[in-house]
Amino acid sequence: MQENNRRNTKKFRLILAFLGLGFLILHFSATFLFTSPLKNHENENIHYVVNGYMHPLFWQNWSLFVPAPKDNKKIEIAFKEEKGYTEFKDPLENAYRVFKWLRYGPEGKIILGFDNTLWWVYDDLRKLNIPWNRELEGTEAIRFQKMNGYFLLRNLVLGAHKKLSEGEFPGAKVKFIVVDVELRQEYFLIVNIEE
Amino acid sequence: MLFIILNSFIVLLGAHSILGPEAYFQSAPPQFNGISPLISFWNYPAFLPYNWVFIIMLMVFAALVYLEKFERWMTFLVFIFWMNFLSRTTVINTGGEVLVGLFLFYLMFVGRVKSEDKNLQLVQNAMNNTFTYAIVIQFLSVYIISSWWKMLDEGWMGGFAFLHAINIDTYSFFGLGEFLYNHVWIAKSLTYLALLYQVAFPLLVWNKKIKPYLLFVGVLFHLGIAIMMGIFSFGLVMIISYSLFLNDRQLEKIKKKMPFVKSD
Repeated sequence: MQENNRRNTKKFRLILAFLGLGFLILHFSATFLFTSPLKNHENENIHYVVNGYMHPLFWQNWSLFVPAPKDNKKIEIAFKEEKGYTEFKDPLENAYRVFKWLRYGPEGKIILGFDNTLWWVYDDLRKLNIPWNRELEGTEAIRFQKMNGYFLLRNLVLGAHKKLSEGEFPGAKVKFIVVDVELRQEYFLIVNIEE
Repeated sequence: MLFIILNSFIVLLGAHSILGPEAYFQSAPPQFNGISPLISFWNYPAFLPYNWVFIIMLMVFAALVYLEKFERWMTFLVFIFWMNFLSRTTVINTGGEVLVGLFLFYLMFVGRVKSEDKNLQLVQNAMNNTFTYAIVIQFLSVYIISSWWKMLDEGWMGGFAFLHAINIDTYSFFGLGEFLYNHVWIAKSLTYLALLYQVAFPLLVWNKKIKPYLLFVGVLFHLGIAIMMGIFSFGLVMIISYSLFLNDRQLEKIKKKMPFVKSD
């Protein structure tokens, strides 16, 4: 009887070990395919299964600082007034002053949030495939307004406006500035944000 | 849990700009499919003004886990609220916050069984082993995958990754960027050393003689990144995670020096 019990326990342990190992192999195979440079999307079936498993609970990305960033992006905002516009101003001026000294605080998080958001905005602006150092106008402006980058940029501008005044948002011009830190060159685009 | 409380407190300090309807960053409302409503309900427009309340709740749940009160339920709630936090504040987060979310998922299955039932105890024991291994593999995969990507990148292999990154305002540190432009060899050395460390860690951490030095260098490495580049939460999470590679005796030593650290 005791011998039987011992055997059953051993069997049960083996089953549990097998299940645990199985989970680890399957889970980390999916993680590996999802995060590694092996492009799982090249095989449609694998892509479907892996992405379905990883989203949204296990989403992760470990290509940290790859590609190595070399574009310093920032915005300056000029709000519409009764006659013309205010001067262009960096909404993060004060945050940077604090962040310089306080490395782990809310300002650091806001600055990182701006940097990540501006990456998406920049990505959409580049998709327009147009020359820089001028104002975005006409059909180019309309095309950009239909992109996600425009809404992200608009949210940043609305947020900046709410922190400055309580009135209705009057509209603004945003100078989107990019400095290529490798070539040390600066270029910009001016984007209209409508009220 | 202490990291979650600290990080939430910092976000709470900047709640006006980070959370709520007047924040700089807005997230899309959740879609009604699968688990999405459960892990992104903070994003509902009606809940936006109360995001700060959710953050306080997250801190309370994390404190209860830390105090070992209703541990399993509270870990589940911390996980749900943390996933909501990640979904609401995607753009302000680093890999550190994402890693904490994954650890929380694994931790939900780790614990003790009050029942005397031997089979239940065996199941719990198997889950403890499985998910502890999962946490270790998850942590190592950060170094393995990240170094693999870096080895395929021109900026990293050319040695310019650190020089370029430190010259970007978000990751800048006083005049260090300009200094490194004038001393490119230092920037190159730092880039290659960072890469070398990430490649070496998963291999060398199993060597008992090398491990203490490796972890010490790692703490300096991540503190350096945290202070110089301002990516603090990632550095903090990685340093805390090093405790995975310490034995009970070493953890007890740390606990004696820092009584707020839990050794189990």
